[in-house]
Amino acid sequence: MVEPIDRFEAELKEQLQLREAPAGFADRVMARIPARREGRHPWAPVVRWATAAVLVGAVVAGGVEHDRRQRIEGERARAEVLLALHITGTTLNAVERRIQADGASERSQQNAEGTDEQQ
Amino acid sequence: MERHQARVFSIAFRILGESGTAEEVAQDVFLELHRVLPRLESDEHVTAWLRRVACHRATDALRRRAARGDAAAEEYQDGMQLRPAMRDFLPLMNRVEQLLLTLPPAQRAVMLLRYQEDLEPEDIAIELGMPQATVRSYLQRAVKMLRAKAERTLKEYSRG
Amino acid sequence: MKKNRAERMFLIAAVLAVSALPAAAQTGAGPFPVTLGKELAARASNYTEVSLDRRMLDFASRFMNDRDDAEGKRIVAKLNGVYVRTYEFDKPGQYTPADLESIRRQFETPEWSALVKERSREASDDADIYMKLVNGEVQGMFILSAEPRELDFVYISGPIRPEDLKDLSGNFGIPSDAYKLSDKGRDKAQKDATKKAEQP
Repeated sequence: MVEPIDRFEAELKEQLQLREAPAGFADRVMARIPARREGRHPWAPVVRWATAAVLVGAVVAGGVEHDRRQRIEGERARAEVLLALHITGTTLNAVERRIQADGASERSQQNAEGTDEQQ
Repeated sequence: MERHQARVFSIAFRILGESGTAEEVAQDVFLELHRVLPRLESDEHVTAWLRRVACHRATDALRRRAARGDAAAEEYQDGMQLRPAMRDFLPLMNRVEQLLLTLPPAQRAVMLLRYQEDLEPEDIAIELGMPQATVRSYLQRAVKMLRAKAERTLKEYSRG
Repeated sequence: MKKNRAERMFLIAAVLAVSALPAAAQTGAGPFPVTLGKELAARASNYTEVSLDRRMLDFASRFMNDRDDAEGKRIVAKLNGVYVRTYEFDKPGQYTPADLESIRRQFETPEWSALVKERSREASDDADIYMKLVNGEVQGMFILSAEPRELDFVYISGPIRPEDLKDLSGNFGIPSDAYKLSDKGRDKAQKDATKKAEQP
């Protein structure tokens, strides 16, 4: 479900419009692209892809499917750990902000009381 | 290429926080695109590839800069305490771009894909190879953090 | 948050991994009451639940690389578990003070010390940090952050030192001076523990 965006999010979108790349950017990129190599066989890409396809087929057929699944699950577990650490950080951050805010309001209250007493 | 250069440069600039390295990264991304272009089937594939690779290459560049100990690299904890080297770049950036630099790099990338590229969290998850839960959590927390920082900046500004 | 198929598969794998452990190590939900978790999730517009026990942390560590994830990997290497719950609600009043109490109660034992205890009316703006101290070392941490439309719980089981938090700074959204908070917490927790030990 797409959630409605509020004013702050609208400002984010507004201020994150695309920026133009620096002048001459395209020319500098084009200058870095190497010239086409001479003497390359016209079938070379086909041969390369056919070889790659055969290799991939052989690897999958060779029974590494288990490893692949293991890797996917491992990557997911890794992401879960990083997410858990991230949430830990932001939760600590939120608690700390609240403590600081309370400390600041207590101090201003004390200052106000002090001023009242002096008067 | 010209259609895409603004997109790639914007991502690199907003992740890195300065235009020199951002241009280097953006150039590298296009050189890489030149090599893989025959494998990309449609314009949508090209756009998605550019977004993903721009995010990754810019984050890599940030990491390399951090490894070298450059001052500007790891300034994402508190925008109010940016080191002088970082402040030099700030006049070139708008307020939201400056606030973005106070986020960890992975969150910057997610925020850019959401608010610059207007992608839904599901699509961001696919493009960056992250679980959807992670993307949603990053977005929710980053917006909250930026909102708090934006309010604080405003207060400090009005206090003068 | 609706779980997609891949996430469900992952959770099933996690459950299977947990079921292979000795009974004492089976801490699928950490200290969080399972029924309450389900109720909160049903009321939430969005929720995230992450339960990682020792075995899952070990498994994940094998896929954490030494470049990007070095600090996280080092920290989780020592931990027994990390359990996180976050719930977002469309409107306030979706949880009660009693809900929070049922979770806090598990940390109101002699070995846990409350470092932060912020209370509000209707428990809608509460914050707690508890630390578990064993022989002067922090062996666990529990964080509760309640806002009118959001509820976050974090439970870390195992040695988590101020230096760990310091190393985490900046990488996972942890404030750069959070370790100072933890330093103070350790001092306070140490004093509390000494006081408790001195009591007849």
